[in-house]
Amino acid sequence: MSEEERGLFDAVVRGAGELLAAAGTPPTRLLARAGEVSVELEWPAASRELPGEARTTPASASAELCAPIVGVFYHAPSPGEPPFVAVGDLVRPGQQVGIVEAMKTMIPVEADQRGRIDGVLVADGTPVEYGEPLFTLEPATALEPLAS
Amino acid sequence: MFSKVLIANRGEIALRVARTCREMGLSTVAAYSTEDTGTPAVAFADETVRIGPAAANRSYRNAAALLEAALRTGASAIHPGYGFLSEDADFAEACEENGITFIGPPAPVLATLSDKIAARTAMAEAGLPLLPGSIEPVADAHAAHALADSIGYPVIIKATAGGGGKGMRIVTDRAGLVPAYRAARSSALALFGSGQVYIERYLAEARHVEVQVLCDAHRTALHLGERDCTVQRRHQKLIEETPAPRLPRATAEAMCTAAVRGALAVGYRGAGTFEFLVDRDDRFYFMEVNPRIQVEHPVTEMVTGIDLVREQINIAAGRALPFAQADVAPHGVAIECRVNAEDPARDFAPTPGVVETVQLPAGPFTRVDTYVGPGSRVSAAYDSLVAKVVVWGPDRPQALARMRRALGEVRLAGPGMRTTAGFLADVLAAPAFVAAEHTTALIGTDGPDDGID
Repeated sequence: MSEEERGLFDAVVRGAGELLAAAGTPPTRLLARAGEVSVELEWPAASRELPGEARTTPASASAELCAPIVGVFYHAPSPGEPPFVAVGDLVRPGQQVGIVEAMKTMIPVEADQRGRIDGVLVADGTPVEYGEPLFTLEPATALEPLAS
Repeated sequence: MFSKVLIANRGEIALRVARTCREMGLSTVAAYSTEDTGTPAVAFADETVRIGPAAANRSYRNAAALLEAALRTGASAIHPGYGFLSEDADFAEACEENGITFIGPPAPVLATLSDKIAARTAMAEAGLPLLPGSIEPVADAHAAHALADSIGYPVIIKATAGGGGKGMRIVTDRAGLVPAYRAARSSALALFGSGQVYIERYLAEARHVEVQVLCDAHRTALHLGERDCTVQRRHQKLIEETPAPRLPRATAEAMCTAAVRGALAVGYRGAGTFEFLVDRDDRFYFMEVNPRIQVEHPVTEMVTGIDLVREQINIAAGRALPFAQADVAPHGVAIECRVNAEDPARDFAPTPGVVETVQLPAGPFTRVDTYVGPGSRVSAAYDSLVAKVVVWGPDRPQALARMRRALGEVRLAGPGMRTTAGFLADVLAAPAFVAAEHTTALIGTDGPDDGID
């Protein structure tokens, strides 16, 4: 093949390799093509397991998101608005999940890791201490097939 | 009277304050950092609030966190202890703005006294004797030279926003002035947030004598005698005693009277300490005011029978002092030794870590203020003071003998842990100290103390 075709082929193979590495379970079929580019991975239809969930070990302990300062915890940006997050939501590092107010200063509470909120530990408007757990989350380390 | 007091401090002073609060029937809240989880003050207090991580600026110097903790727990007063925010006028003001009583002087008085030049000026106006020195911050190196020439060498350069003996530079001749001036400015900025400095005549061999005052909100100001804090290493006090030995009583009286005059002149309120230097001819000169409770306050308590923290709280609650000057009758001699977790053999390098063995003295007229027990951790994040051993005796020889006995009982051991207990015992045995002929030069000062040991 020509040098250009070679370059394209390498890129496609590299891309397939990256997808493979990110996948939880190996696919039953992998196709890589160079001309007009293509990568395909296939998993058995019978398995409902998604790559992301398979990567998460069932025994992994919940992580906690904790208060960054002492103050009053709020679920939502302001009274009456929907909360930043709810149980089941996927969060990314840096994503705001709440507010702690200290002396009229609003400090955002941000997720420090990727995962799914699986518990809300503190009621809206509750005073909290520095480092107090606010949420539990199930860490996710694999690529999620669907953006939340 | 307050029903609940928040203690914005840690270690030995937090526990000491909490104990008096408990005696007075006041509820206590311990505000603490993650580093102090499980420490005695936290265990002792009725309520606790974890306010931040180890770093002081995010915990014990975090005004918003402390105020938040006070408001959420319903504390109506805050005791700031010593260090941290105890001399911070902004914090005192913020307390008042939020309806919380700051146990200490009013914010404007704090502002004046924590600016060392403003304090000097105020005391000069009140007629207190001062060493030759600046009446304004030093503008530049040129002004520093002019000033030092007029004062006469040796001189000492200090931070106007400073205190606690930190960041100062001694200059013995003209050649050393500009480098010292520049270094002092950098230290001042790093330590206290302001690079402003002032210059004073330096007394190489002097005695450091301070006066304890109490002032209520009803214009009553009185003194509780003086303390001699001459034994210092790099301007950090190690041993304190009262009364000042070998100080003519007339001089001590004059100093105490001067301190009361100075306190009234600035509208002082609460417990405070006026620091002086005394030269070889028993002349005294005003240095600075410490507008807070001091580490060495127990020696005054031992000879007067007065609980200084109790008086601070009563004064802050608006009560009149329950005694007059004539009722204050110090009796006997009290000495305090500060035992630090430091290794004297390695230039007093701090030795933080776990203290596994803790044996501290007790017995006749012996008091120990500490925060450690077996298994306690001396944190690297804070100062190295571990225990204050305080004794009383009817006269100085007996007090010295009692302190030797008490220090001999001290056992503090852990992995890598060293303490200054043995070093202090050596100082106590030094002929100059026993004869009370020692000066601030007793322990060789090797250079500036920037608070980094």
